[in-house]
Amino acid sequence: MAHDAEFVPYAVGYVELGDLLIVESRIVAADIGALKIGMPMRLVRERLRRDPDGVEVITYAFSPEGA
Amino acid sequence: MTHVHIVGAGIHPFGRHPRKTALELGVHAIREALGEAGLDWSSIQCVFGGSAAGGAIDALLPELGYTGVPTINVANGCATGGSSLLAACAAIQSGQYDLVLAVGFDKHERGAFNADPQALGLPKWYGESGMMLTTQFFAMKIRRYMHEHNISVETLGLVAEKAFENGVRAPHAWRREKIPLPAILAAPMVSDPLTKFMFCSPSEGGVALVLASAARMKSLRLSGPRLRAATIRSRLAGSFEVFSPALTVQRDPSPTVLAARAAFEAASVNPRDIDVAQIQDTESGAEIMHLAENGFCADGAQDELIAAGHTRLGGKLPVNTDGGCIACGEPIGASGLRQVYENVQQLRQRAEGRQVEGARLAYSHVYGAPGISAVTILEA
Repeated sequence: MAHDAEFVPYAVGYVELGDLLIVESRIVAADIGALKIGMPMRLVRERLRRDPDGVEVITYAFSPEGA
Repeated sequence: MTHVHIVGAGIHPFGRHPRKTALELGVHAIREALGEAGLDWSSIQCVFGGSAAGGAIDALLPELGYTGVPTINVANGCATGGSSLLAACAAIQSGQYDLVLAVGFDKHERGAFNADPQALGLPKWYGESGMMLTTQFFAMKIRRYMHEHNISVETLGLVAEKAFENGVRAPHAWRREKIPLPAILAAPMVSDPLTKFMFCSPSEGGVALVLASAARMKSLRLSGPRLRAATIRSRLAGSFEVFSPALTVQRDPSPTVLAARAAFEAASVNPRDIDVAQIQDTESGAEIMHLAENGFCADGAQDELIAAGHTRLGGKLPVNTDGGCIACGEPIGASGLRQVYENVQQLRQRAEGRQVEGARLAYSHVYGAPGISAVTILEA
């Protein structure tokens, strides 16, 4: 793993999906300092890395609604 | 039921010991525990112990002697020490043995533990996407708790400040220098809202306890605190624990709540009867939440209690009198036993410089991934 790469702070949180389930997720936001508990969120995709063949590996993430 | 007492307690100071192996730390602790009780290794009838990274209990034999003693390895994450003690206690209560040793020792690399998702039954992507870090779990748990119960960031800092102050007074602690509150609050952020000085770090150390039935203790003309309760509980479906990719919406009580209730019931005492407590402080927030989970205060009361010095030495309920995990660091196998060691010192009135005057009932609580809590209540 790239331990020498510069660390970029990222956000994680738990998102409640209706009254069904709570999932842990990366949170994508322009300003992670402005995130608040209880904010409405929507599902987005986030690029994690490229695999050795150059294919993009993506993951699910959430982002503040309307951001 | 047979009463179980701790008749000997030994420790190898926690910290970094580059010239010693983990096994040597364990042997040191065992020799000190036996020496205190004036017992020979050959008198020990059974050994329960654990080390996450330092070797098997059986590997202590070349140094201590091949006596044929049964050696049983215990592996229960950060709750390993509490589990070893529970097993040793039950072995005596069963009537099979009357002189048993519980031991824990460990030696870890610098930095956070690097957990393997697949070893815990989790998908590889969970680790790969940056979510499988214990620091994040603790930060998210306290974040939510601060939101729901109005706990301030300053309270997080005060918990760490107290830990370092107490560590100065405990010869077995690792971090023995005061760190003022502003420096704690301004330290580099690890997982928001927890800064570097609010976390405990993996460290090195060893602890051993010799347990005896009341009858055997008497015949040996020894004395020692009585184990009024030793309980352990694992998580329920809805408890919020470390390494949870998904949760049910409904929360269940934590394993700490369950273990604490069972311990108070077994000992027939109340939280307000406790004179001194060692509570799992993986980070500052954990101590705050565990105060309530163990029944020592209501949710949300911590800001006021901590600001008033309630948990400091000299307060109403001194907590983590040797600096806890924050000042001692955490050698996984030894950490829970270190708490009991400190309680033994307090109950024997020899916790010099940090003695809780007249301490009679001492409480310990250890929490480990992925949701195991062990509690003991000792009586002088």
